[in-house]
Amino acid sequence: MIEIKDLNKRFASAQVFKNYNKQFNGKKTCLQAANGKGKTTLLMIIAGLESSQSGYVLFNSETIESVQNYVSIASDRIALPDFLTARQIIELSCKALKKEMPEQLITGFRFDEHLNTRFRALSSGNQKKCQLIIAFLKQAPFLLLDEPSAALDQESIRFLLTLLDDYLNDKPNGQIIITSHEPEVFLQHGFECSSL
Amino acid sequence: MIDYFARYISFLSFRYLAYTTTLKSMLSQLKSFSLLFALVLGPAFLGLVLLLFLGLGKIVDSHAAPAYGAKLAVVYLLLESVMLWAMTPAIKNAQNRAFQRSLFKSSWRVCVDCKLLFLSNAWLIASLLIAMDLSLKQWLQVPHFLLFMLLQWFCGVFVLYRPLALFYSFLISFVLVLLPVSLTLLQYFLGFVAIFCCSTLIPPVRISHKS
Repeated sequence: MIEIKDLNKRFASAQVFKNYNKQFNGKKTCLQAANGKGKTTLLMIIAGLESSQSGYVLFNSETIESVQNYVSIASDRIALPDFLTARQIIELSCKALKKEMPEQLITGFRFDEHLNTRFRALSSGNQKKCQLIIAFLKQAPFLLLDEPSAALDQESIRFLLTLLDDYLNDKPNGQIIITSHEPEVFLQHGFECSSL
Repeated sequence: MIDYFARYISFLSFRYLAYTTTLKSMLSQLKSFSLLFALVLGPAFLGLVLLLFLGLGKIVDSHAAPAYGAKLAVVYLLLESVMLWAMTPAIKNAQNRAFQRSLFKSSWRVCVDCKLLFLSNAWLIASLLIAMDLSLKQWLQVPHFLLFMLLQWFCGVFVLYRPLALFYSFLISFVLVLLPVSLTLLQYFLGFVAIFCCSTLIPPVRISHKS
């Protein structure tokens, strides 16, 4: 279970979170809020990729030192190296995570034919697929997906849903948090809606 | 162990590729000024390199006027910091920093940052070339030069990780060199090192108090 305590986050003069507290009780949560309210920022803070002025995040009631080992995230906020091809990015991620090339994920997202394209030349949908492949490759107990279905074709959304259905099977203490402006399809797959 | 090393090498290769790609992109942005640079700086390039070494020479050997040597050193360090600051996005691969943080160990990131920082720091490399040329007898006469090289390294590290501390360091160092006190070169440089170390302890000043 992920818990946010007394979070304060400010961008220049904009206060995004002020003494913010939140507890994610459900195993699968779909976080909802209007644009610009800080959904992505919150995911980035949970993943330890963005700092806050104060506050902390608890994972199963504990603070974690090296969060990146326990959290996997896919977000447009994380710029992938656009001078590399998708294959090079995935291979680099495989080496970092000591994993084999995720052929099943690549085929499932019908990404094979785009592997040798530079990331900057990929369509937004294919860039999203690349982000998702890396996130699922990690198999961390806590999975954070920022607008995972945005720009994806229907077949890829269906594949994504099957991945989400099975993700927590071998992670009893795991949790999935996603953000989406079209939550209906996720609600049908066991997600609970939660406002920011 | 071999696997660990192979993974580190793949990260290093990625960072080096990112470094060269960013530098190329920065240079291409300067392309529109290339004719101007070629005309103005082209003939003066050799002179600039000589000036770099001449400045270092003055810093090494300014026992007769220690205050002048200290002032020159601070200006030299300031120029070096400005150049490194311009190269920071390439050194840190700032654009893909979150990607790096999501996958790679922080120790690897810092280690590669330092390697690329050294590679980018032509000023420090020039100092090392001079340092290697000094005999033991000469070193005993100019021990402050070792501190100067340490300060050069501090500047690079501060530019990457503690820019505010660097600002404070220069501010206080300028005050020190402008004070009407009589110090030896070694005392000046020990003072600079102390200032650089202490400035990391100064808390950041928040300009906006809007809540």
